[in-house]
Amino acid sequence: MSVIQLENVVKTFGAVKAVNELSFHVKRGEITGFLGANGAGKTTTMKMLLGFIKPDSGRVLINEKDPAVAVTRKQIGYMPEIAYYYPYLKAYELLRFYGGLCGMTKKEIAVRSKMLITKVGLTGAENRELKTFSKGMLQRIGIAQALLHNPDVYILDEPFTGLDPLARIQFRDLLLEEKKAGKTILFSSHELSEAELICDNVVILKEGKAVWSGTTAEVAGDGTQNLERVFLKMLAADANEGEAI
Amino acid sequence: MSIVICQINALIKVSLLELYRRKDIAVVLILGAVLLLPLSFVSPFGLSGAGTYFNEIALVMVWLFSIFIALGVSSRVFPYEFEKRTIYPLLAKPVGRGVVIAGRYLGALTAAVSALCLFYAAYVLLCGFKQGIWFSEALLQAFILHIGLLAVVVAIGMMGSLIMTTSANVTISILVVFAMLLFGASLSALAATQNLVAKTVLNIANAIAPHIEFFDMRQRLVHEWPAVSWLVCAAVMGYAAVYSTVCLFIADFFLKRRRF
Amino acid sequence: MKSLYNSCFDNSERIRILQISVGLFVIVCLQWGLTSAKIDLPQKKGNSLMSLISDDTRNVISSSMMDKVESYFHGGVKVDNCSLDDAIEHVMHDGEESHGEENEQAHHEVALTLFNPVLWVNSKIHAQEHHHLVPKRSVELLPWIVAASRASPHNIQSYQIGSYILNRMVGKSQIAIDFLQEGIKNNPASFELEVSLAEIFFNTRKDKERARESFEIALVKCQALGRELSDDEVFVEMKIYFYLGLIAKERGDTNRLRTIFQMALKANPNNTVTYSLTGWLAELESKK
Ligand SMILES: Nc1ncnc2c1ncn2[C@@H]1O[C@H](COP(=O)(O)OP(=O)(O)OP(=O)(O)O)[C@@H](O)[C@H]1O
Ligand SMILES: [Mg+2]
Repeated sequence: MSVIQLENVVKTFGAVKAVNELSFHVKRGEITGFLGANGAGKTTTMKMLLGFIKPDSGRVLINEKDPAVAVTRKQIGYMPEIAYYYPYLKAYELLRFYGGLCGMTKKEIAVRSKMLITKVGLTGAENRELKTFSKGMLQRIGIAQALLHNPDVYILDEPFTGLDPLARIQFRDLLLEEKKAGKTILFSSHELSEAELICDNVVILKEGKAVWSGTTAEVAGDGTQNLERVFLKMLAADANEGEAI
Repeated sequence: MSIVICQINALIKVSLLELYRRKDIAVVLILGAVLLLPLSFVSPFGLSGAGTYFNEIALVMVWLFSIFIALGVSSRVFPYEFEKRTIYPLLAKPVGRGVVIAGRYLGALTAAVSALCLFYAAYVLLCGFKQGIWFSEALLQAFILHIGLLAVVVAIGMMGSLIMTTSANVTISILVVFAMLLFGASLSALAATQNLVAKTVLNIANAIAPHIEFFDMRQRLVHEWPAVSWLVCAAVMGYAAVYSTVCLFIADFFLKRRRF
Repeated sequence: MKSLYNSCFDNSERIRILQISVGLFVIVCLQWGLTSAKIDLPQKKGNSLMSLISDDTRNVISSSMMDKVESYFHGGVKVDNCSLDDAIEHVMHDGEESHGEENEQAHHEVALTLFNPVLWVNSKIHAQEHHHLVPKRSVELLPWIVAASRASPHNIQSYQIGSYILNRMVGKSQIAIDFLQEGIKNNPASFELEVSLAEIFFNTRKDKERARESFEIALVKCQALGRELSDDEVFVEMKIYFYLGLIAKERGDTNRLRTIFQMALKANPNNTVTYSLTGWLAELESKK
C-alpha cells in the first residue's frame, strides 16, 4: 500500500514552475531518497506533502488522506530544512510544547523526550535554552521533535546537513531502526553516498520533474555504476535520454 | 475536543514562557517604579494628604504599560513565526490553523493579563500606602474591564499582524486605541455636526472601531465615584467578547489563506 | 554581582537594559527638574525660535495642568458651564451641589430621543453627575497647581487660584502669601496677583495697613500697563477701587476717597463699585 502518493502534482510560483507534473508513490516500510540540485523543487514538494501549500493541480495524499486536514498530520513527523526553533525555550520545553500540540499526555511526553534526547545525543543539554545551541545541536533537536509523537511517516528535509560524522552514523542507524519498526521515510538530501547506503528507492528531481526513479538495486545495476554517476548523468542529460537507462 | 484543549494549553504555556524569558515585564515594572517613586514623595507646599494625583498617574502608567505589553506580545507572535520559520514545525503538527490562532490568542492574552495582575498589584500597593484605600468595588470592576480591554487589544494586534507588516500594524493599532480612548465617546456627537460624507465616515467609525473608552474606569477610581452596575460591566465584557471573536475570525481567514 | 548580572541577561538584553536606563535617567532628570528645580526667575522672553517654541510648550503644559485642577474639582467630570472660579466661589459660599441640574436634564433628553448604545454605555461607565470637591480635600488640587506654576511661571491664573485654594479652602494663609509673593516676583507687571495678595491681608489677616500698601502698588501697576483692559481685568481693577475706597472711608480720608471715586468713574461709571463709592463719598462729606 502506498503511504505517500503524489499524482501529477504541479506548483508554480509566478513564472517559476517549482514542481511540474510530479508523480511518485512511497510504500509502507520503505526509505526513499529525494534527490536533486538546488532549486529542483524538493522542499516545495515536501511542503505540499504537509499541506502548507496546496498544489495548483494534481493530488497529494498521505495514508490516502489530505495532509491539509489536521488529523492526517498526526501520522507525519516532519523536520524542516532550516532548523530554527523558539530560541527562548529549553530543549525539553520545546519537546513538551510539540508533544502538547500532538495531544500527548504529560507522561508520554516525558518518556518519549527522555528517550529521544539520549538517542540524538543531547543528554546534558536538555536544560539549556535553544539560543545557546549550535547548528548541529539544533538539527538534533529537530530530529527529536520529528520522532516525538511516534508517527508512521517521516518527511525529513535534508536531515543530514550540519551533523558531524558520528551523529550522521547514529542518525543513519536510527532511520534504519525506524524502518524496521515499519515506518515509512522520505528524505531529501544532497549526500548521495548517504542516500545510497540506506535508501530502498531513489527519486531524482530536475526542474520539478522526476527524471529518474527506481530502487537502489537498479542503481547498482551491473556493478559499474553508482548513485553519483546516475545523478550526474541525469542532471546533465535531457530528461528523455534519462528514461533510457 | 480534548486534543484541542491540550494544544491550546501548550500554546498558552509557551506564550507565558516567552513573555517572562524576554524580561519585558521586569523592564516595565522597573520603569514604572522609577517613575512613580519620586512622585510619591511630592508634598506640595510642604502639605501632606494629596494622593489623587499619584493615583491618577499610577493608573495612567498601568494603562500605558498594559496596552504596550498587550500590543507588543500579540503583534509579534505570527511575524516572528514566519520570519524564524518556526511556523513550519508548528503547522506540521496535527493542529488546525484555527486552533493555532485561538491558542496563540489565548496565550498572548494570558501573558498580557498576567502582566496586568502584576501592574494592578503594584498599583494597589502604592496607592494603598499613599491614600489608605486598599479595595473598592469600583477597583474590582476596573480590573475586570481592563481584562476586557486587553482581550480586544490583543485581538486587534493579532489580526493586524496577519494583514500588515509589523510596524504598520503596531502604529495603526496604537493610533486606533488611543484615538478611541480619547474621542470614542464623542464620535456620534461629532458626526451630528458634520456634512454628509464626514458624517457617514464618523458613523461607520463609531460602529466598527473598538470602543476602548468603554473599559476606562479610571475616572471612577481616581475620584472615588461609586461602582457602576454589574449589568453594565457584563454588557461591556460581552462587547469585548464579540469584538475579539470577530477580529479572530478575520485573523483566521487571513492565516488560512496564507501559503508558506 | 557582575557574574550574576551576566548570567541573567544575554548580550542583546544588556544593550536593551542600558538603553532603557539611559532613557530612564533622562526622564527622571526632566521630572526632577519639573517638580523641584527652582528656575531662576524672572525669566526673559527670548526671541529665538527655540525659546518661542519652548515658551509655547510650557504655556500649553501649564494650562493643561490648570485644566487638571478644574477636572479634579469636579471629580473628573467634564463640565462646560461651570468655570473653576465660579465653582470654587460656589462651594465656599453654600457648599451645595445644585447648579449642574440643567446639564443633566439635557443628557436625559438626548437619551430619550434616540437610543444610542455607545452613548448609553459611556454615560454609565463615566460618571456625569455634577460634583464638587469637598473643601477639606482641596489639598488634592495643590500638586497640579505647583506643576502648573513650575511649568510656566508666567501662568498668573495658577498663582491666583492656587493662593485662593491655599488661603480659603486649606486655610494656610501664610503659604498662600508666600506663593503669591513668588508669583509677583516672577510676574512683576501683574496687578492681579498684587490684588490677590492684598485681599488675603484684608480679608483673612485683617491687616488693613499691609492690604492698603498692596492695593496701592496694584493700582500703580495697573495704571502702568497703559493699554485697554479686558473685561476680566476691569473686574479686578474695580476691586482695587472698592477696597481702597473702603479703607479710605474707614480712615475718614475724604480726599483719597474722591480721587479713587474719580478713577472708578473713569474706568466704569455703571458698576456697583462706583455706586458704592458714590454713597461712601456722600456719607463722608455729609458727616463733615
Ligand atoms: N515561496 C516561493 N515563492 C517563489 N518561488 C519559490 C518559493 N518557494 C520556492 N520557490 C522556487 O521554487 C523552486 C524550487 O524550490 P525548492 O525550495 O523546492 O528547491 P529545493 O529542491 O528544496 O532546493 P535546495 O536543494 O536548495 O533546498 C526554486 O526555483 C525556488 O526559487
Ligand atoms: Mg530545499
